Amino acid sequence: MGKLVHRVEPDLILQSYVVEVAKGVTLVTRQFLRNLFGRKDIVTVQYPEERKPYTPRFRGKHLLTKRDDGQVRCVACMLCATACPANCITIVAAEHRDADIEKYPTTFEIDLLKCIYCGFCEEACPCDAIRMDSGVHTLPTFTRRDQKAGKVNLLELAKRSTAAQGGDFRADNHAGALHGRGGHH
Amino acid sequence: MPKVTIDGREIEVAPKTTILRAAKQVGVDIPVFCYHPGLSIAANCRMCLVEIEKWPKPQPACYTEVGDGMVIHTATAKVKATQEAVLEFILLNHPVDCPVCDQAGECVLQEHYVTYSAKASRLSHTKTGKPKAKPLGPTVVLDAERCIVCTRCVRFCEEVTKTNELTVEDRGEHAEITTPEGVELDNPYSLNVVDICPVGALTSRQFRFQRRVWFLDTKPSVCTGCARGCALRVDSHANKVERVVPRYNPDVNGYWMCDAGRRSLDDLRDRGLSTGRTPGPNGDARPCNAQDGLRVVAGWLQQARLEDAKVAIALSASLGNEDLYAWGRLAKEMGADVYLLRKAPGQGDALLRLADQDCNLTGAQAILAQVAPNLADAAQLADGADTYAIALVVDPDGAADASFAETLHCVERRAVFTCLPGPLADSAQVVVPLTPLHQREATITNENGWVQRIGQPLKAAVTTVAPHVAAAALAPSAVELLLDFGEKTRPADIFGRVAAAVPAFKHLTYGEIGDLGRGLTHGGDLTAARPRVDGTPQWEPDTVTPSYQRPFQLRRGA
Repeated sequence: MGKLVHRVEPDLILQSYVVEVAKGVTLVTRQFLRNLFGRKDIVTVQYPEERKPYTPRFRGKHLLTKRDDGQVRCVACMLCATACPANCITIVAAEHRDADIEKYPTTFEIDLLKCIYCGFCEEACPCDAIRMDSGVHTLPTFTRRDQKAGKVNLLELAKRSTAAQGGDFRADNHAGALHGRGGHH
Repeated sequence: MPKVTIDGREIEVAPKTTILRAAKQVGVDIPVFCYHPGLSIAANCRMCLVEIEKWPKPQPACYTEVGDGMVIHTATAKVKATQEAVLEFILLNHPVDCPVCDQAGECVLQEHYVTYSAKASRLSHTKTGKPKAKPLGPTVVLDAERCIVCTRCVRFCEEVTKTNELTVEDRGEHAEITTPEGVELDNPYSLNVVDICPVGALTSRQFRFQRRVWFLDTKPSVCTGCARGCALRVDSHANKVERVVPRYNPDVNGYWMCDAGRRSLDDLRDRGLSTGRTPGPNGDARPCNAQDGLRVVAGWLQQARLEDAKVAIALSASLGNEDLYAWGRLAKEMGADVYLLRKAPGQGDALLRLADQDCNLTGAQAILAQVAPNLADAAQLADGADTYAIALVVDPDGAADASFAETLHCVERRAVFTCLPGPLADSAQVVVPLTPLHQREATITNENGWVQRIGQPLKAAVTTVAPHVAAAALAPSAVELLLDFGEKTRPADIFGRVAAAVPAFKHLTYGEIGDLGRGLTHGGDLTAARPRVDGTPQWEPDTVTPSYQRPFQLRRGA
């Protein structure tokens, strides 16, 4: 059952709109003068000069962390690309000169337009190589191409990771005891 | 016949059957690392230890033969403790670098660890370091740290190729697979060691780091590199071949295939033809798709019919059975002369490779003998080439050599149906791009008369046409008749026609061929009665299904 709506039959005064327009103009003018002279409790934020603080849970754009020597930590294991529900991560792997690192990404690209910022990629990463704690907004761009964040872009925000390479969860207890790549668990 | 009881299930098996095989017959899976059905039994990994009543110690199931009245247990607390101990021992110095290891996802060690142990490591010392990314030869790279020294690869080189390139050096935790000084792992079957390696120790240099295995699309297919027709599996991603691995077929190739066969699919990837060529209005060459090319050839054939001109059709012995039937029928109706094109012989060996490079010679001879009786060898075209007004050459993968292309120049109108550019395509006025065998459904017959389905592991380019479809499209203008399969150009339909027309194919249907193929009839005898290649009764290869072929499931260790 629908609800019966009683329409107000507009009389001649309402139809002329003179009174209604005057009411509106008065309201706007009163607010304008209040804001102009003296009142301090204005809700409008003067963005971009003035910014509201984000909540601590805000994550922001992805970043790739670096090794101690400044190289990318990522070993191109593709676990982020596997976990990604939006299929927005493209990685091309290659053999590293250093046989101990073995594998590294020559291309690491995240399509930020496809990304849904779920954070599964940083959850899946066994190397603490991809993170979403940059606190930086994804900015609008003029082309779609510019929304593809490449390796250079992702490394610009890079932080130094303090975790053991290889994701060994016992590294703190057995500092230096393991062979660098960690034990099985 | 000894009668044994395995986990409470009683079974009677042939004498000398091992416990592992007997268990397989009652559906009990026993984990293994070093056992491979195509190799000798080493029993060095100890993963398959089982308990036998009245025997003092657990015994390796892969090696121990059953005796009458044996009572075997594969899941007692003692066996489980043994399996956990073996896994802990194997994993002691294993780097567990699964994120960078190519084997992850199809690794026997990963599978067994999660199924049979899932315990944390108790090692508090430094792991033994060994060389990583060490090239063993032109095709194979070794990661010695990941190796569990099961010696499958060593046994393969000793027993199958008999080239003995690999050996185990040092002892205990320092044991390492290596080649003797000055020797490289460089034989025509070297990549098989990568397939049989249960862990990621041996990797193919070509596939290394290219793609994680769970991203691969896997399709059964057949090798077209030589007349053997090895059963294989094409692993592709985004319609690009990533790797080719052998598929077990006891009637054709057993467990193995050669390196050249794996590379034979690269040709299509790297230099396949997707556009053809027709003469433009000013006599210049113009790129075209298959349809435009066929339209021009149809015009020629129509004119030839009115003028009663002679037509020559050269067919490659590397075409599918359906293609040969369709073209043979077309030639017969037109009264055209058919020439059979064969590839130059290559290098054969005692194991699998055959000198005969045509993947469907047996099929071509059987089919064309029935549908195109005036069959001649392509070399004979040179004698009377100038008597023909039109020559149609159907040669998908370069069977015709430069001298044949030269001969072709004597014919006024030349159309080439091919997948590859080259001297033959250059010599024709019309080039029609064909769909390669691995991009469509087709069957081929190997040298032994074994018919197998190619199974379309890859998608075709829309600008190309399958040879049998091309024949069907040309038929109405050439002879004003639909071929007897009419509009139905599905290979299954045409295969039915082949079976009806050719006695050797009489008992076969497309569906029955399946993944493992069927034999031709030779004078009433099925070739199925021939001895199988690996000389052993049928036995499934690995017991482990790679995890990426199962539905995705998140599993955690203890």
